[in-house]
Amino acid sequence: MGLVIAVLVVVVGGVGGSHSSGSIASIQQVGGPDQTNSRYPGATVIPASEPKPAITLTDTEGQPYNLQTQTQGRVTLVYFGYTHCPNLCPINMALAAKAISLLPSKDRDRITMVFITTDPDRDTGPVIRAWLDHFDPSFVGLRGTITQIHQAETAVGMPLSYVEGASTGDYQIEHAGYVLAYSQNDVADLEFSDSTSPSDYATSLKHLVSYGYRT
Amino acid sequence: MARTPAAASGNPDADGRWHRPRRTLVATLAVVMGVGLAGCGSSHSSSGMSSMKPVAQVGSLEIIHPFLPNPASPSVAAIYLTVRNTGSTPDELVSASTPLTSQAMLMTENGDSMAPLADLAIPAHGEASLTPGKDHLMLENPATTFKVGQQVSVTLRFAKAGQVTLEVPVVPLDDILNDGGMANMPGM
Repeated sequence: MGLVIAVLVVVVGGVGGSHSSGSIASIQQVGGPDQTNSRYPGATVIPASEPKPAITLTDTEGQPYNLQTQTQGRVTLVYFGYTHCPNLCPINMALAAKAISLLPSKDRDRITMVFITTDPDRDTGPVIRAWLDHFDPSFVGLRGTITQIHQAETAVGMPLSYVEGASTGDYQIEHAGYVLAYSQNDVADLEFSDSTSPSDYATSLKHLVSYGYRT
Repeated sequence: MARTPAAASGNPDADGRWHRPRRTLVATLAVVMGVGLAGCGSSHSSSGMSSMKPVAQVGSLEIIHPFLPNPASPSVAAIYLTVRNTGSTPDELVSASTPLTSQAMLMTENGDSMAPLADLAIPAHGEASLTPGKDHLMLENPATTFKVGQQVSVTLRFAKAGQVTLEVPVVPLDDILNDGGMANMPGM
């Protein structure tokens, strides 16, 4: 609620009257299912919590990786994207890396960032590994067949990605533009957008580590 | 541009983009928070960029604070910049090019979807920006391995003012989070 109030103040002070009243109305209108929580600044609280699914994909070493068992009890960030992505994907990765870096090591050690490619044709294990290492070598990179990736997206409740402009050779991919965060209780609890500040992101992660789901 | 979802389940909207219904608030907040970050890189802002020295000029247009975050991918990069219009005639940035690749394209982000940007409108006596997370100049398959400190030659073409060539510095990847290393970003 604190976030919404802060946002409204910015709107009123920042832009013209007709714009601001429209924005306020739309926030009030859709404020039902989505929530904010002052303990989790900059994040959207997911109203319908879902347990971490037991999906198995392949990691950058070519080994099977089960999301549920291998991240059990850890705050887990999940992002679907692709390395041939100029703007949102590197921002989301850099932002997660920055936020995690702001935490003390005891908290950092309880967080796993999982990147799942939506572009397995171009994103081989080594390509993903090299890309992730620019942000944080501890980040986990996963790939699979398109069918497996769509199953994973469905399992975590994200919209399905799809290729756009494949006929031109250098195609882009539509995909969810946010990071999903599971609490230490292995429940999907928060979403982070690329407009979250690193310090807010870090605060929210610390609270996920300290308190767990929806407290 | 035709969009062909590869698999079907979800809620395509009128643009063919897919969302869960509850994306609406996030999108609204993101837009509003973007306004909240005015002063550094947002369109039409009168503070922040106004004190920065232009790196190039054509007609009444000034190019301010261009930067290229050192890309994590060898196959794609993005350039961001601000155009300030000191004149009384609106203009549009319509295209850009660089000797590093034939594939330089203005792009925009709409929530989960990236699409070509027809032009970037530069209002009279105002500013417009290519900004991380929003509009950007995409370079595909650049014929170089970028290094921080490197200068990349880029030519911008405007509908009325004509074209101008400038040198864009490669900055650390992390600077994508704070508009290319600008100081005093609120909330950053």
